[in-house]
Amino acid sequence: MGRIAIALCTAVHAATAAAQPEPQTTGNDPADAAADPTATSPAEDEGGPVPSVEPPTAAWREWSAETDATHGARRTAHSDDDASGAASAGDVAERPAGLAGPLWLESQAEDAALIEVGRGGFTFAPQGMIQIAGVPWLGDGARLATGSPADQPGFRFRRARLGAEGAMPLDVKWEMLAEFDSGGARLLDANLRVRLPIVELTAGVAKVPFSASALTPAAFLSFLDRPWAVDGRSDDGAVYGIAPGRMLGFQAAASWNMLRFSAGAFNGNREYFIGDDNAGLLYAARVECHPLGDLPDGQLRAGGGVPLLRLGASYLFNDDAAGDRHAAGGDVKLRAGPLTVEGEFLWSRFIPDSAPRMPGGEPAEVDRIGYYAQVAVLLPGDLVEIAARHDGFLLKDGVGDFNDRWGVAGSASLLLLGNRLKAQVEYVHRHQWYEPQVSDDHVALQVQGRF
Amino acid sequence: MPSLPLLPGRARARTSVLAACAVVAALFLPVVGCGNQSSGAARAYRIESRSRTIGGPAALADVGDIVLENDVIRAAILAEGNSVGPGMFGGSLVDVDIVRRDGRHPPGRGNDQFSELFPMVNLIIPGYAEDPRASGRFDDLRVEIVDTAAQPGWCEGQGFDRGCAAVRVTGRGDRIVEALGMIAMLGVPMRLSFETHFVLEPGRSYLRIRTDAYADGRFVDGEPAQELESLEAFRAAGLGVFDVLVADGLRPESEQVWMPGYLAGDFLMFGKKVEIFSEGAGYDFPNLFQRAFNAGGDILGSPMGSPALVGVGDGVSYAYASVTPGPVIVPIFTGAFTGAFTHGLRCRRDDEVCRARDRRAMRYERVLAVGRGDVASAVAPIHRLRRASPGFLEGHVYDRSTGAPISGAQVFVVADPYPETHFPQNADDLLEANRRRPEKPGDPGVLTEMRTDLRGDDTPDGSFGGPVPPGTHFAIVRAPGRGLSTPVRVRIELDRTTRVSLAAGLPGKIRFDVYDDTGARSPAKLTFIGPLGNADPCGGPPSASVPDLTEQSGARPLPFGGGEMPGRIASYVFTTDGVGEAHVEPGRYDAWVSRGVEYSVDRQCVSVTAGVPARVVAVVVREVDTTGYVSADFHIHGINSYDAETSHAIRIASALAEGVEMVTPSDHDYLTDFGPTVRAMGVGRRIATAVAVEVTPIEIGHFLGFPLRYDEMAPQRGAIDWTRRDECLGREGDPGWPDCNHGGVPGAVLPLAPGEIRERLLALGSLGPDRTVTIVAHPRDGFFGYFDQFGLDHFEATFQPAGAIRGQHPLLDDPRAFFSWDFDAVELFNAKRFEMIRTPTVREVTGFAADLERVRGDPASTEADVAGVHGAWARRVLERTRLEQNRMRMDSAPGCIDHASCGTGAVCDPQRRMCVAEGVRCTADDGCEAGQVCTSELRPSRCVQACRTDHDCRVDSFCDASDPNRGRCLRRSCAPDEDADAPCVRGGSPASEGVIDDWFRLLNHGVVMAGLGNSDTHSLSSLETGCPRNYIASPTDDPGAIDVGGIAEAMRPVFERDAEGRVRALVRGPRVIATYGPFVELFVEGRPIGSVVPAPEPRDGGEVVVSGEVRVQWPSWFDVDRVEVYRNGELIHSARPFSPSQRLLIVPFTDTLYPEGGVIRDAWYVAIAMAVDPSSRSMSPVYTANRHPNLGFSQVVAVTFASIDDPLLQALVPPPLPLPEQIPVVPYGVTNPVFVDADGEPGFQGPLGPPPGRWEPGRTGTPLLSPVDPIPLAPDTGWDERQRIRRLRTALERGLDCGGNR
Repeated sequence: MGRIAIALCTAVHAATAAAQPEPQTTGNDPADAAADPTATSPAEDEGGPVPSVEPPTAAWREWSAETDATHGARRTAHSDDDASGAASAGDVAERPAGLAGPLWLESQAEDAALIEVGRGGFTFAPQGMIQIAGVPWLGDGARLATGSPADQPGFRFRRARLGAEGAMPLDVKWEMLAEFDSGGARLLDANLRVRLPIVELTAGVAKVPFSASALTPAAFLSFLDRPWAVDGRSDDGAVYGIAPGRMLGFQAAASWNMLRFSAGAFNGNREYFIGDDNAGLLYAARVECHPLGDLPDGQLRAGGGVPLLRLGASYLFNDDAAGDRHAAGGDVKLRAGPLTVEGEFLWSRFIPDSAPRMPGGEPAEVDRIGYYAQVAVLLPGDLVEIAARHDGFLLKDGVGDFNDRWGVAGSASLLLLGNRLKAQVEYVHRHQWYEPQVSDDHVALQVQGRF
Repeated sequence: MPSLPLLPGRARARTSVLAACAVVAALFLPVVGCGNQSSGAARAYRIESRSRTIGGPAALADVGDIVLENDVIRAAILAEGNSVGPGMFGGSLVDVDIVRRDGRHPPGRGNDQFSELFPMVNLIIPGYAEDPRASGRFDDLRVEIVDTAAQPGWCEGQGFDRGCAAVRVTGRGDRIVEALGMIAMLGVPMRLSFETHFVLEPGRSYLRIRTDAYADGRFVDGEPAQELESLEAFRAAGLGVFDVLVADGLRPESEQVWMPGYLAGDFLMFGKKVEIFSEGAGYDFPNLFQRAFNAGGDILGSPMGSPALVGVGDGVSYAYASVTPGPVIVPIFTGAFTGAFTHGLRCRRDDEVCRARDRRAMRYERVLAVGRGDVASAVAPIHRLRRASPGFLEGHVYDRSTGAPISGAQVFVVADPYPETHFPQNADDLLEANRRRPEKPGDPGVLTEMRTDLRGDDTPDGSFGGPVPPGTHFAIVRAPGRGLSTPVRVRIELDRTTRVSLAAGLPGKIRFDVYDDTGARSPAKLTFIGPLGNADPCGGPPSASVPDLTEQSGARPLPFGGGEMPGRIASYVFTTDGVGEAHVEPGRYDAWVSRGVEYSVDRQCVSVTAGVPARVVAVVVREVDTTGYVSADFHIHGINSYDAETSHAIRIASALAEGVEMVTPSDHDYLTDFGPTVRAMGVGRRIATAVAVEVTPIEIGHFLGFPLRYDEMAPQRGAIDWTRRDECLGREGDPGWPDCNHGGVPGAVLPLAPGEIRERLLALGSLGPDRTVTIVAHPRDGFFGYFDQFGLDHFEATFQPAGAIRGQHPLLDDPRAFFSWDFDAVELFNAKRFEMIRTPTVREVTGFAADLERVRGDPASTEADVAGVHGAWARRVLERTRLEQNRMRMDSAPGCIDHASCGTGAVCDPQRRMCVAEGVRCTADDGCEAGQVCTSELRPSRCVQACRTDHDCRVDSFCDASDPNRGRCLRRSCAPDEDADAPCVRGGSPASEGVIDDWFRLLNHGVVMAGLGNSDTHSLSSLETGCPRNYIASPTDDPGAIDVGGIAEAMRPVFERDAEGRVRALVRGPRVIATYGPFVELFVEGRPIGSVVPAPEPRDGGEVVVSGEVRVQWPSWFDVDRVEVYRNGELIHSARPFSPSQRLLIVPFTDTLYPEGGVIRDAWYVAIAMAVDPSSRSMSPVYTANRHPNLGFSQVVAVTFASIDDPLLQALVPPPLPLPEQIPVVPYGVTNPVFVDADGEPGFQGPLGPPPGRWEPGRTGTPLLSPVDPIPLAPDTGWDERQRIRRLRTALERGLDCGGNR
């Protein structure tokens, strides 16, 4: 897998290198940078080195200190959907002189912490996000367990997250993030990271390095949710999607040239506090290639609008108690100016450890196949993004039900204050692979704020 | 640890250094007693602090009892004295649990779910014996720790592992119930003594129970014990219980081949907190008895057996078996009285060697193994003990769609009846195929059960495992909220482990929101019927008829457990806040959302897809105005009853969901306080509670009381010890001590009489005796019925002779001395025992029997057809015609009951119950004057006046006036050619006494008790909280403001008494409506129930015209089609609504009271509303149908005699008449009376005067008659036969009444 990825990545790099425009050097005025549609937004630079782009302020220089080889790998390994990714800092993040209010906000990295204090190598950066959703229209047959935010009409909290991250001497960083819902608080991320000369090691709860969509922070989704094939789950937490999400374990990340690697071993469960519940471990690895420069997360323009491409491949093996699960996926994402095109294909197979003799037609091995393709465009002014998506999922468990479906969706997002404040509206149409069809289309709204 | 002196009482705390040691040990050494034992060793010690008890939902042991423990399990054995469990005596095993090291279960807070076990040989158990002068191998019941430390080699010498701990229990043979004494009349050896060792070996998860039984008078000290035989040979020979116990004892001596023998085992009372499993039947084991009983099978002649009997609870399980391979025979399984036999002895008459065996100790040994909450873990130690080598199955259960492990799933291993290439469609097909196997007909083939992630398994990975018989089997997974998995084939090899990963069935879920008509969320019960086929009715208005779907839900075949729920109910859920979810297998469901009988029902059809919850949004609307009344259920059981498992919280939730506003827990001999639970749930403004109890003597009836004082520190929280054993044992010589034997055998201890129980309840009243309610529960429930056991005559309010069974009990043998008339209330309805409400007529019994026979004889008939016959006839019993009620002769009261009451020169005419001049002696009618007949019922026979009409005879007789001058009263026999409207009477007693008819007759005699309807619920579905219920007059309709004392006052009749405290007149009656559903109000002269109304002014003719009104309300989901109004027990008016669904019916009526002898007698009025037309809607499925005839102790006794293979005995003791008992809940409600004071005396007096059976000091006399007809001797019988018949006659002429009067 790795060799294939490298070969592919190299080929793409060679093919696109000549066509890539020279990055422009911007002045010190971030307003200029913001106004220049071709300028690389440092705010989106947490994903990796963009050598041609200089940060406009001293603070940006602090940020750029983080933009080393491990940074991009970090995104793939535990980057988070929740604005946690770029909260690295020097001693203290200062407000750049001459900037005030929203202007200053928009000068910051899209996923950077807004508040950070520090002393003597210790830093502390609180972070939080709130998403409030409303469903003005919902199909009569909509069900609660479709994993859709539009499970019932009315307003509700989608997410309310609060946490912090920080750094310590010896290049140790930490992260702690909790999500609040009707059941109380739930721990999302809690990990320690140590950067060594070659790799960065992470211990704790973090996202398993698998699936580009799963690794994309929730704050930067063009729709209210990821495709069902990625992380769809019932309201009981039963996971139907292929990506494992967050787990407790260890992982290592490294980069070499345009490649980003990460791999880890995890408990393979979601109950962080009870230890191993499946008598085995989950092993996952991901490799990314950024042949045109690191493609950061976010919805705003990246790289000053120059085309940026990410190719990725993931694999996992879950040595579960009842059987083994293999999963693999490939993904591609291209951002060029206001346009973002992405897609992913995922596959997994569950093989019981020791299947009994079963009647014909009764599946012993269960396959899941999922995919999506998505295109998003920033309208002039970069305040509004419109997007369209097609996704599909098939769970070959012998039951044709509402989990087996495809869908088309369209959305519009209003991005304000450097995407710190976002309003979205989406329409989703779902179609079941099997009869009966269910009227579960919806129109949903969401307002998101974060710091 | 040395043995400690015996504690005189069970709860006397010991303030000593030892106690302090125990406390320290409890704190720091959770397992090791006082730190003087090495880890892993077995030990025994007396409990000195509650922190050393076992603890758990069924835990009974207390300070003074004995603990046996090692590092694996803990068990407790009661000290001498009384049993606080369902048994009778101390020395029984009551608590068993595994040692838990999870930090949540220190000693005293374990998870015991076992009820009680004690040895039994020939139905005799170790105890005290009622006659202390009787000889015995042991003088008294003793429970002592065997000091194995001081006797090196004791364990090895006894065949146990070194380091064992043991408790020895010795006792004289006694009867668990006095009625069993009549078994001895059949020649069964029952004079026995017992020595039992409960032994725990180090590191073992089982107790070994070794019993030596001594046949008294024949034992020889010093002889080695004789091992009894396994029952395998008995079973192979097809022997029934009485084939062994009675053998040829009833045959002529010349024909006798086999001597009466011995069957040894235990009374094994698992209780209701565990589900019973046996290899083959699986969890259907208990129901097999019921079905065999329903079908008229011989459950004693062909008893069920199993290699082991397993009780499975939440987190703990128990397996009972013989130590050596052999079956456990379970002839009777009624929950409380479950006998299990493991060994036996049967000798030919000419086999002297065999016959000499009972001169030695007869030894048998059993094992009780403890598992972690499934069958396999409980059975596994028995395999190890027997050194058996089964195969093993282990693996994991996972969700097929997500791969997630599933905890709490059950893996059933089922026999494979197919060729290897064939697979069943589903679990039902597999079970049915097994039932058709010729080698094991009817056996569903369930071999074992394993559960995933048992307690103690810290990894929730869905793992399971356990021993399985070698061979090819099917594995099926049942997981909560899921359908059954596809059966998959597994091969098990001897002493090898097979590993499999099993996918669970598909999950389904329904989320619901329930609102009331104010828009607020509402408590509710949701009943889900299904999964249904496309053709089954689903949803729609509740006005649509609901077919009687009697099959089980597809996900719950009975062999896989979960209990039987009628009407194909898959699930029911209670919500207190109107929101929640139900877990069901995917499919189509008919959802009924209800909130008791005052609200509407919202019925919807719901389709549930795997993994995708469906949604129910429902509204329930109040439709019945009960202003001025609060609803209450005074008879409910829960976790503190050995025969119930419902937690306090669920019980409260169920009450709220059923719209019950006040509940009083009535656990058996245990005070329960719902108060803390109500407060914790935050529902205090919606429901009121009071501390209460059901005093549960085994043979003299059951009695309820509330509100009572709760004592957290007292045994059973302060409940009354009706046995008085702990109070009286060892105090016989104490002059200050109360009479403990009612003037009987010195040294014996007899239980409290009913009047004493009542007095103690009053003394225990938390609001004082004047605000304490005492209630007679189910008075006609045979062996547990107060009226039945004391032989209260249904037609005369006097007492029938005790008979051979009841006569064994010293209190029942003299009912006039020990019966109390003073209870405040009586249950007119109990549970769903509709057959106990009204007395059936000849037509109703014989017609039912004929129809039942016809249906059962039709091979095409179905279970629903049988239920239809039951339902139709049960409704006819409930409906009364004027003719039927006239035949009850409620205006009839005997003028005498014995000769002593007639004075010199007169005798009490047994035909008429009237004093007549003493006639001449006679031998035949010819010796009497014209108009007289010679009756042999007087001894010697005398001439008495001939009858002309039935009214010249007692109610249980009719006048045979074929010779007009020699009309003779003959006993009714319930023959089809008798008066069809007359009550069905056989042997002087009705086929079934209706409590309402009892109540009417007692009211006529001025005995006023509030008539109640209580659920007696022990579960949640088959007996729902508040079905039936009571409406009590209350100044507030706010449940949160209910004054419990005020409720008590409203329920108690208030009498005017004379200086001696005797009742003179009623001044206020109970203000209660008892109902299954209809809300029935009665007003007489404008006054409500409970009122004593002055009679209106008489008219010119002296008559008084009384006017009244009945007002009936009912909700829209069931019907009412008939209203009856009674005066003094006479049906004076009936009415039907324009439509059964009109929801409100007002019935005005007038009645005329005529003077008799210039005086108008006082009167009472009662109204009844019901739905008895077959086309009218019952209360199903909100309240489930009663699917089975009652199988209680009374029925067991009847079956016992029917199973004895003796034609003469069977001819003399005919089987009980069948009664319609399988019936949906019929809407039926009864008011308490409005009394009319018309006789000029202040207050209400009974129109027929005091009951003749009421005991009065100084009045003596014995009843004249035996209810059993004389047994004719066959003229051609030989001497042996005569001797045999004479012996039977001795027994039977005393009145063999089969427990009660049926």
